[in-house]
Amino acid sequence: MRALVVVILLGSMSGCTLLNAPDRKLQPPDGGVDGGAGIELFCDDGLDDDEDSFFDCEDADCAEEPACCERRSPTLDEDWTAADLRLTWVFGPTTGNPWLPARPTFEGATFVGNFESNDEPRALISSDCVSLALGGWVNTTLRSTDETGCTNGAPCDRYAGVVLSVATDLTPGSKLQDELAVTLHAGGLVLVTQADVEVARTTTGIDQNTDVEIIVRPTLNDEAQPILRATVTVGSDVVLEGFLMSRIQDLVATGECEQIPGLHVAAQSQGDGVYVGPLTTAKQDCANPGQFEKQVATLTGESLQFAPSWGSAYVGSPALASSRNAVSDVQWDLIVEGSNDSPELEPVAHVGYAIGHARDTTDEGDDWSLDGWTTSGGPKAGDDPPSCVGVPGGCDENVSVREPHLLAELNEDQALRDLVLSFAREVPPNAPDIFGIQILRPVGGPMTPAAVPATPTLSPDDVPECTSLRDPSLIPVDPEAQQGYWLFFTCVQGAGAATEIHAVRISRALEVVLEGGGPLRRIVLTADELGPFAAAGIRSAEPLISFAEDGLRLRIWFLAQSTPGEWGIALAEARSHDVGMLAFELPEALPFPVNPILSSDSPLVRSDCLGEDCSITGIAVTRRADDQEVLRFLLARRVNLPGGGRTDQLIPLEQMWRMP
Amino acid sequence: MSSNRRIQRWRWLGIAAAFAVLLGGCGEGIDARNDAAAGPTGGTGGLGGADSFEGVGGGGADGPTGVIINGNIEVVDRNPVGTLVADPGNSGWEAVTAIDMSTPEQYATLALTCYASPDACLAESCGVLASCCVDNGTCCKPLADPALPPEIDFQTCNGLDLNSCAVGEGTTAVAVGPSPPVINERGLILGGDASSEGSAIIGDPVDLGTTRVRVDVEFALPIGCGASCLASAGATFSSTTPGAFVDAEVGLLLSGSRNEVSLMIGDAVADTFDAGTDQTRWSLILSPEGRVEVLRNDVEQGAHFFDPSTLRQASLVLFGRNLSQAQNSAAIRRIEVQTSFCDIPSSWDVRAPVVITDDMDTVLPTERFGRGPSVASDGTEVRFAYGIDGEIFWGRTAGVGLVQLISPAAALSPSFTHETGGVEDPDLVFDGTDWHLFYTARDENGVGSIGHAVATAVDTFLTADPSPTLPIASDVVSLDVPTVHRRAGLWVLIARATLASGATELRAYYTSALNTGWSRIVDSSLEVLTRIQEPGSEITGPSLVVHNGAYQLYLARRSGTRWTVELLASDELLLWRPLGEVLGPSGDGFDRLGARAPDAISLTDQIALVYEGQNGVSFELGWAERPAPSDTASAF
Repeated sequence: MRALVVVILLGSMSGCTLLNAPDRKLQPPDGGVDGGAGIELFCDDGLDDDEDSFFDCEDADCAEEPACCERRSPTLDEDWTAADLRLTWVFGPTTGNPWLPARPTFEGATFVGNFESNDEPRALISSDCVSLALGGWVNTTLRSTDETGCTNGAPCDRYAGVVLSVATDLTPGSKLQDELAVTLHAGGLVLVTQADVEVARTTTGIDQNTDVEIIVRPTLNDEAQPILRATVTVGSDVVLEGFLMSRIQDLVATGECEQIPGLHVAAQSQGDGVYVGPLTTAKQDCANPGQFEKQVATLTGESLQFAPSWGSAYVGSPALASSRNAVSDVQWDLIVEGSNDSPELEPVAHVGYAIGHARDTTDEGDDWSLDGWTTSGGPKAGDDPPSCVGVPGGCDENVSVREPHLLAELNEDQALRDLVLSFAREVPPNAPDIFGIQILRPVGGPMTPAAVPATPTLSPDDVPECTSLRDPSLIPVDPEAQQGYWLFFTCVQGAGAATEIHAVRISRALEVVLEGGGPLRRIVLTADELGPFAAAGIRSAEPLISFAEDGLRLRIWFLAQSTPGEWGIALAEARSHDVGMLAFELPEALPFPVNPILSSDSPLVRSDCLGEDCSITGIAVTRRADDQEVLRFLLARRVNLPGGGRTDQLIPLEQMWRMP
Repeated sequence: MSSNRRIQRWRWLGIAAAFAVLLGGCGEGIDARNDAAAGPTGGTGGLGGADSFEGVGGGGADGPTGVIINGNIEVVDRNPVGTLVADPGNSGWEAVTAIDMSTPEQYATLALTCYASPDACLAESCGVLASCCVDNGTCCKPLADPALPPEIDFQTCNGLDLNSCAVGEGTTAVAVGPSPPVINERGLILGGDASSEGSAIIGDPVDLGTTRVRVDVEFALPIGCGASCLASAGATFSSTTPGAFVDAEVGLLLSGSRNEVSLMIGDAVADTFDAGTDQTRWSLILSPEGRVEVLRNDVEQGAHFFDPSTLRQASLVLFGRNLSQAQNSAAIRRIEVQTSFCDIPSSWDVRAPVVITDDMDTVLPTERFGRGPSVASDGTEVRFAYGIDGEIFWGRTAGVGLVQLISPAAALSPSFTHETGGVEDPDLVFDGTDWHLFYTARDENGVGSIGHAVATAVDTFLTADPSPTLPIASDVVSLDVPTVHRRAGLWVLIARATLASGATELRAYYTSALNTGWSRIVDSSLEVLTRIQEPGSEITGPSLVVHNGAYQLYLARRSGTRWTVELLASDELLLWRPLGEVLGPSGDGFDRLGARAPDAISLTDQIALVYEGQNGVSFELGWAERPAPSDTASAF
């Protein structure tokens, strides 16, 4: 499979800084400009995917993709005039005698060069790295004042240039390790190098400024690994295009690059007569769905005041809905699964679950408060207690219900019109751990119980490929859901982790739509087509659909594991200009190239963990009713406690999007 | 030839005979391979079946991790295969071609089949190839001093405490958890409840990255266990010390209430099987390349994969939850364990910087920046050579990563016109009498050729030949980074050739005597596999050894700025099996970003490797070691 959008940042998703604030601001695809019926699926494949005569970045569909994004956010602006350059630059090599660069002025700009050495390279290396993983720009000006050297057999021993490097120092006598370097030599030869090996060359004039631009774009290589490709322009000539510069996993991911990996930028020189002018860098200011802003109000089953009788041992797998009411900016409905027995007992005994409902009607629009939630206390659906491990006689008649999902149907004022609740429920009761899907409407407030009907909306008998159906979620087929829904679910096919997410069409009356004697069903995601990040299984699709005049955009967050137990959050996306197709068909969902967008070892998941034993147990996604450009996530994680025992946390996160 | 080898040869003959029958109807398959082999970048071939040659397509891909190999079956007609085999008298070549009606091409076909995919070598028919023993979790040698007991029969320990029982079996056991385990006539019953597990650590940790382990377990099923009862027992490997919970990273778990035995991987259920009875014998077979098999009464139930790299120090933990630990609880009746170690090329258990001292044991700090290290042994000592600033130095090793210079002066300095640009990339060889040094000699224009120098056992310095032992010729504009392997009657030299087009490739040469010149091995897949034509990558630093009956060729690959060490294996220098990266970034210290310039030495049941570690600022000399059985290929 190929990818729609390139790159995000792996890991390193602890608290957001303003510098790296979420900035996904998607514009309407096409904007009505181009005409094809489809959409430019791949923005760097050299093809006109939607046959609208616009290729790749020419197509407005691609305007916000990293392969094409032109919006810049400055990350470094150095004019070399500061009194003490040591405040922001490392003088390398750091061993040996102190030195200072010459700082001549040419055509009104300050340059650096002549680093007091004629026989070894020296460099001014940026103390912090500059983010490039999402794409970026490096611009500078080079100038040679000496027409001799590096021509007609003369040695190329005097030079100055810009270097992108993972290193913050160099060994005396050696150049800086260069992921990419553009170097002007005395005499006018310009070499582009990597690992000090020439990859391109050109020449330029003496005593004239030569502008250099390095454009870095993320993409995937043939092995589906995220990489950076570089295009180098010297003067007005593109001397290198699409050159493989680095794997993103090899970039620096500390300091200023903790959230968006990057490289150190350096001015490197040896000898006199060649200089580096003002140096600027910028990062792309477009897509970044891997970046979250963490909110402070971490919730627990206890803070939500769920009764211990059904939620003492575990609370997770959240569902979230947002609406507006007359009292506050936004109302939140939160539904979770819980149990009085630990999920870790499942391999040795049947564990039962129930679901509970909490509502916050006092949100003022910023962060959640920890109090103020109205809760169901006991289960909204399911038995209390739901589980009876080790209890003589057990509770064999219980029906375990779990993995809820909420779809909020709002009126034009964003007030709640309906809540559609779906969840997995055991079926039949005497077959533990075999689940079907239940869909209910209306849901009512937290205190309103939801009875579990005798038969599920969708049974595993309806889907022969699946032995059990889990993790339901719904999207409307049209903005008002007048034609019903698509029900996403995890298809469990055996004892191990599930590998497929399916979808079944559901009518407005919450009945399964049939096709050829069975449910109208589509396979949405298959683990072995997604890449290594999903090699050990996928589950828990959390879809969100956006309707616009010229098309639809479907995003599906889901859990994926590369190796057993290492669950991360991944994202896939489907787009189409044909909104009407949803009545019968789902557009093909393609994974983001740099999945997972949130890995199991990210600081967000690992913070405050004991050892490495924190795990993601679920993710919920919804738009804020008071600001449709903001997505609210709720990440559920299970945390080991010192001395044994575990607790569960629901961590609110946000991302800013612009409605397509 | 040892009697054991003779026996094995007859076994090979039997296998080869079977192949000959299979090959009888495979003309199309062979033709397909011929066609595909004609191009250096042909497509990936299909594999009709692990044990047959039918449906074999051509080879195709190169690359750092590709195990799909290019190959031309006619290469065996163009080179003296019998002379080139790594282990004369015991080679797969001899075994296959000794069969009536068999042809050299059939041997080549066999090799191509076995090299066609990462796990193709697991086929029984490939056991004739020593190169298939590399990175193969079924080609292993029993550990002389196993960390785990061969057997513990808990039922015979009725009434004893756990430790006494273990001591009686010649091992140790440490109980973990608030309620100690109980041993009764049913076996070992672990304590625990809904909020914690009972567990016991058996023996010492094992390295699942190099060790093949088979654990046989007999459970006693709980009696009268209903749907909600909490009665379980399991055996797992874990890299963490058990606390309230056991990390079942790869193991078996009996659930009484479910009446199932589950394969646990990464603390999650990967597969589930009916529990059977108390007499059911469950086997967990862990191969160090990451394959785990479950057998039920010796019948395979399923195979999955786990990550052995996280289990380099893994404890065998018996665990469970039994509220009452009563007579009807779940129990472990007995366990049996077999352990053996294998040649897993990426499982290094030592990676350390090299420290070089003078003859007064004073550390010489700048020597760690030496280039192109080499090691060789004369049976009594291991010598170490490296280059600095166009000269070559050498010393004696005095432990892992410790080198004492023989002389503070260079062992070899440029002396002749073809060396005026410096001497570098040393490769040491001991021929039974003298030390030989092969090296890159650069002329004033930087053009390389392969030089040769020699020293007696007592010489401090090496004496160079006045002219290159391997000069540039024909389409080659430069030669460098030589590696040489010697055995009785054969010298093999592999060097990097820079072609007039600017491309580079590794080329192999051989000779019976150094003073008679070198013959080039033609049409070897090595050249195709190592050809580089783009400036963004590079292959250099080859190192050739023979270990366990096969050639192992280590080389360094640069991708962008990052260096990794890769491995190729071959039985005869003609057809090569790429094994991908075997030494990469450590993530910490002197080699945190990568490794290059490998030079390996084959020792008894061990491979040692010297290299240059990459940390982003500099390259510094390093030393790595890993266990690797020396004599299992014949029994493979």
